[in-house]
Parts: sequence; structure tokens; C-alpha cells
Amino acid sequence: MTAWASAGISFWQTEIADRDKNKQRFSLDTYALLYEELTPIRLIQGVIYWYGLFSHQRGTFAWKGFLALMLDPAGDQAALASLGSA
Amino acid sequence: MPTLLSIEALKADRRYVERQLAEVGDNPWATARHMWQTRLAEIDAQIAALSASSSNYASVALIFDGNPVIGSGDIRLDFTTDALDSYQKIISLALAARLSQDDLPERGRLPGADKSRLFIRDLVRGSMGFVLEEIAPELHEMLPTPLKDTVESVTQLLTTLTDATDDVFESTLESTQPRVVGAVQKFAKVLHEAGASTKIVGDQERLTLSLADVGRLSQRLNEVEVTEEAETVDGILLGILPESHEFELKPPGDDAVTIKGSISDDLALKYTADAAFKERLLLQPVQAQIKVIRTTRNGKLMRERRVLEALEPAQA
Repeated sequence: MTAWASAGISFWQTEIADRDKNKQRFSLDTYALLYEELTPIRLIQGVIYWYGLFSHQRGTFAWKGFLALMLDPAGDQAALASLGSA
Repeated sequence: MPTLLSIEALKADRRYVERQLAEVGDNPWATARHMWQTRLAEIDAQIAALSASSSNYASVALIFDGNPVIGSGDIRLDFTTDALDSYQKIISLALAARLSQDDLPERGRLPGADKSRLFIRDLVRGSMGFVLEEIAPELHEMLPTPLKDTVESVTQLLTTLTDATDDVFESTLESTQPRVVGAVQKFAKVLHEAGASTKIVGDQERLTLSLADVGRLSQRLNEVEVTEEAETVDGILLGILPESHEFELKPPGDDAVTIKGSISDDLALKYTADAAFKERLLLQPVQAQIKVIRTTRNGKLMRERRVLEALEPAQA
């Protein structure tokens, strides 16, 4: 969070939304967006697109699932503590 | 999933993303622009990877529209079975023609019949279509299978027969086995009579047949007629090549033109297995039974092939 507050857009581009880096680090397909940037209609269009893309496999139409996580620094600390004690 | 169908889906995705990029507003953070640019790069990478990759096994999607299709989820069963069956017949005959040096037999087992089977692997989502594929053996092929090449060449053949000028259409007929032409005739008839259009998408070739295209193909092929006639010819047997299935026969008279053609499998076998048969016939007066296969269009001869079916010594 400190880095985010101090580095701003460069932190966004090189850490949060860098798809290739995140793929390598976390095996995640990452696309990020500040929703305040969008009008409501654009936000809805985006949700429709990403839902269509990630809800099923393109070739087989097999359903996949969604998980919503709140990014919360306090929660991160609690999670790290749990993992550390496991 | 056929490569071209996957690329088609990715290109539709690409068009949407490009539209979002064009419409994204100015914002100092520009996270939306960055997000869509990342997505565009990923789609381009997937298209490039698919374009560079190539499966060695047959994969083709047949997508139908028109009267037999209701919405995007229902299709008439009788039409589907007829259409898929007639498509499989084209493939089986085209593969047999590829493997055989002769005219295909009128009936009986086709060369390569066991290698020509396609299986319904999946449905094409969002429209009424079937993904047909060959089952890959446990030991993977290093080169494209004959069935894969055949599937792609049949799409090419259908494209030529539909779109080509009359001259090219006729020269294509000349170089195509009559039974393959007959199978394409049946496929076009099934589509035309049902009022259906179709899209055939493989790994390399694709074809769209609108209702007008189906009508034109069906009409063109209706003008084509394949006839067979048995002839008995006297002459001197100049030679038989059992490996390449060819013969030459010289009819009586100095001016008579030597007859050339192919020989049936049965005759080739007898010729190689029976030495006495060969002794009695080679360079001797014989009576030959020859099948003449003619392909005509509007009465004009397009192709004429002679198949030597049987031989016996000439009556003294």
C-alpha cells in the first residue's frame, strides 16, 4: 500500500496490472481497472465482457467459477499470520 | 476445435476490444486503456500461436442455417443425418480416390474406408454446428494424416465447384472421380431441398455456402451426368502393367488407335497370379470387356475413362 501511495501509476502498471509479470509470479491472468474511471454504462459493458470470457471455457463451454476477494491490508496481515502458523 | 474456427472467435473478440479502446475516454490514470491494450496483446498472441500451430489430424466444423434450423439450439434430425452422412460419403470417396490409382469400384469396400471415419467431437456454440474430428491414434503421426489432407481438399473442391468459372468448373470435373462428383451432388441436393445454408471451417480451408450458393452448386451439378457402358472389343493385347493398373490394346486395322486405360483389381490379381493366363493373352488376339465411364455436362463430354474388366483369347 505504501508503494501504491508513493509510486502511483507506475506501481499500477508495473505491479498490479502487469499481466506477464503476474502470470509468472502468481500463475494468474490479470486485468485491472479503477472502476471510478468508468461511467456506469461502460462498467456494465465491461462486466458483461469479462463475465462472458471467464465464465466458461471457449472451446468446451464448460462452466468455471468466480471468487470475489476484498483487497484489505489488515486482512492480508491476518492471512499471512495464519499461513505462517500453519 | 478447427483452428480457423478458434481464430474466427478470437478475431470477433479482437474487434470488440478494439472498439472499447477506440471509445475509452481520456483519463490521467488510463487504467481502462491499459487493461484493453493488455487484452488486445493477449488476443494477438493467441491468434499468432494458433496460426503457427498445426494439428496433424482432421478437424472440421459444419455449421448449418436456414429452414432446418430453429434459433441457435434446434435442428431437424432428418436433415442433420442426411447432411452429415452425405458429407462423410464425400470424404470417404475422396480419400479412396486419393489412395487408389484407378476409378473407384461401383460398390464394395473402398480403399482406406477404415481411415476415413469422422466422429462428432463437439457442437459449435452459439450456432447450429458440429465439430467433426478424426480420432488420433495412441502413436502420434509426425505428418498430416491422409484424412486431414482429404478434409481440407474437399473444402477446396466444394469452393471451386461453387465459385469457379464454367471452364474451371468443367476442368475440375474432368480431374475428379465420378463417384466423388456423385457424392457432392447428393450433399448439394440435401442442402438445396431442405433450404439450408452451411459454413465449413477446417484448419486451413473455409467455405461459406449461402442459399444462393447452394442453389447454384446444386443446379451446376444437376447438369452433370455420369454414365457407364460395357463394350466388347477385339484386338491384340500389347501389355498390362499390374502395378500401375494400366493396359494397352490394339484393335484390328493399321489405322486403328491403340486403346489405353486402367484395369480392374480382379484382373490385375489374376494377371500376376496366373502365369498361364498371361501366356495365353499377351501379344495375342483377345476379346476384351471394357467399361467406359463418361462424365457429361449438358450433353458435352467432360471425362472418359476406360477400365479393362475381363479378357479371353479371341475365338478362332
